Amino acid sequence: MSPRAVNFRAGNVIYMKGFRNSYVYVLKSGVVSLNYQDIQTGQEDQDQIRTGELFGVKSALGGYATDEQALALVDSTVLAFTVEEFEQVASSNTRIIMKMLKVYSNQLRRIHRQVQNLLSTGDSRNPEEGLFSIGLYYHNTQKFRQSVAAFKRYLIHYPAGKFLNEVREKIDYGESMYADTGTLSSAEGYSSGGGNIYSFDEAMEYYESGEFRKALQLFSKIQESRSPDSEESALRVGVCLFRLGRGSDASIRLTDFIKKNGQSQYVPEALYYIGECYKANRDTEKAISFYKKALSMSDPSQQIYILITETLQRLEGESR
Amino acid sequence: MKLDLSMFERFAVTYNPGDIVFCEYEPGDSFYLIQSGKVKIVKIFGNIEKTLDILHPGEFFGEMALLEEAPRSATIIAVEPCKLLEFNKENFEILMKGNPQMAMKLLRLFTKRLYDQKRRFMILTLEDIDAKIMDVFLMLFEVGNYISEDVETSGKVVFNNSIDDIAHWAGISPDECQPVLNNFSIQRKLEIDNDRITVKNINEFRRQVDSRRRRQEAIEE
Repeated sequence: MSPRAVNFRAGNVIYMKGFRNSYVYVLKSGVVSLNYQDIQTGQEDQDQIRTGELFGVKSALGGYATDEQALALVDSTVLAFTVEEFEQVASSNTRIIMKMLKVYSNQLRRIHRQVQNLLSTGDSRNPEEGLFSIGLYYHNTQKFRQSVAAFKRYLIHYPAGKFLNEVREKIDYGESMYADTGTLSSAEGYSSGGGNIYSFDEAMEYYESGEFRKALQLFSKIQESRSPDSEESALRVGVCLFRLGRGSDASIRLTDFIKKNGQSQYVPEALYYIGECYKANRDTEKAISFYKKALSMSDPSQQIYILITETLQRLEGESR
Repeated sequence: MKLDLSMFERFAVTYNPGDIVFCEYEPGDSFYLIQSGKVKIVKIFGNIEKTLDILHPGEFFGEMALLEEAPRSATIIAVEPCKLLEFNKENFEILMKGNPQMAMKLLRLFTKRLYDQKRRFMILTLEDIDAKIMDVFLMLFEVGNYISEDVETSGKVVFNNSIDDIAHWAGISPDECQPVLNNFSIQRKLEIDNDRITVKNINEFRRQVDSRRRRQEAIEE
């Protein structure tokens, strides 16, 4: 099969706008005009096709309705290729395809920019903030593998970025959450347990001896298990984070703990440590309000009651 | 047409499930062809990670980086162990000249992207929010993105899209989109059932969109 040569008299329509066109055309002789409506201005516009140029490619290849009318301005002859014929010719002559790719990439760049302009009101974040927000999303949803990957990319692209310290801190934290097993957290659908039993007593030993990094790793695993110690482990994860100097992470985890375990006996302790995070951040007023709330919810027989009372007395002494 | 990619082995990169290929907002100058495995395209909307698409072997992604010096518009995560061919502006021509079938495939992809973008632009330029949403359904129908249709007899089309999807295409928030869809539902123009929306008469939607577009153009003139 070879392409057909088709003659059109001046003023003849080769194809109409809105119709499905199944041919790719090459202008052999004459002059053809492509008439279309500019999508931005709504004005009628036209491009003239020169001898040897292709037209009708997009609608034929994509199987879409044409968005232009092709009109012979003078008596013209065109070669009409079916899509298969066009593919055969183009495959033996990549120059044609490369030329088309360049034309389309220019058109695509233009229309992409126009669409983005119309949508620009939706997201005014700059790329640095945007990339940071992606890492933060995965961090907050405990998908640490993704958060670490996103934050590491942040370091590559913004080595002196404004979130540098926070990013480094979060990479450390994210890596510590899957360092041992190399697997992902349960939030990502991966089992962190796999039948392993992590000792709560061992975690507490590390915790009480001030080995918070090791304690954090064990508590993180226990809290994801169905162990009876998972509730307290969730609290201890928050406290370990605070002890490791990761106040904002600690605050998120402790708040999350209270939301999920509103009736837990550990709520006063969680509130106390949120207060500690604020205090470390020099927000004494907020710290005191959390201590007071913790105190109101705790029982005088609990050890935490004594700790809160002492903290409040010390703070009040300092303010006098 | 089967692609012979053996000569491009030096561009191969591998990823494990869960690995990020690139992140939304990250600068990028390379595009990828999936040789084996699957990847998902995700975007974070507020506090929700939404999967926009899953791509299979033979499909491209990231090609916009060749055209736009703009940040990546979505995040790509490997779903399975993946082998990808990674190309940049420098080796793009080598790839295309050495493999016309792939160049042809990319040409087809560009025509599809052009159509999608133009169609999206048409939707976004409609001022009337009802018309915008109706036009989204028309666009989804035109590209064959529906479960079933009975256009000839009743005009009914069933779409497998959520309210968030419709809002995304219309360039509005789900909060703006929901009341319009509810209103359409009260007027019995459509039915909403979880992630399935049935438009009762797509032809009526077309008539209304055409009419509002003409009215808008007349006012602008």
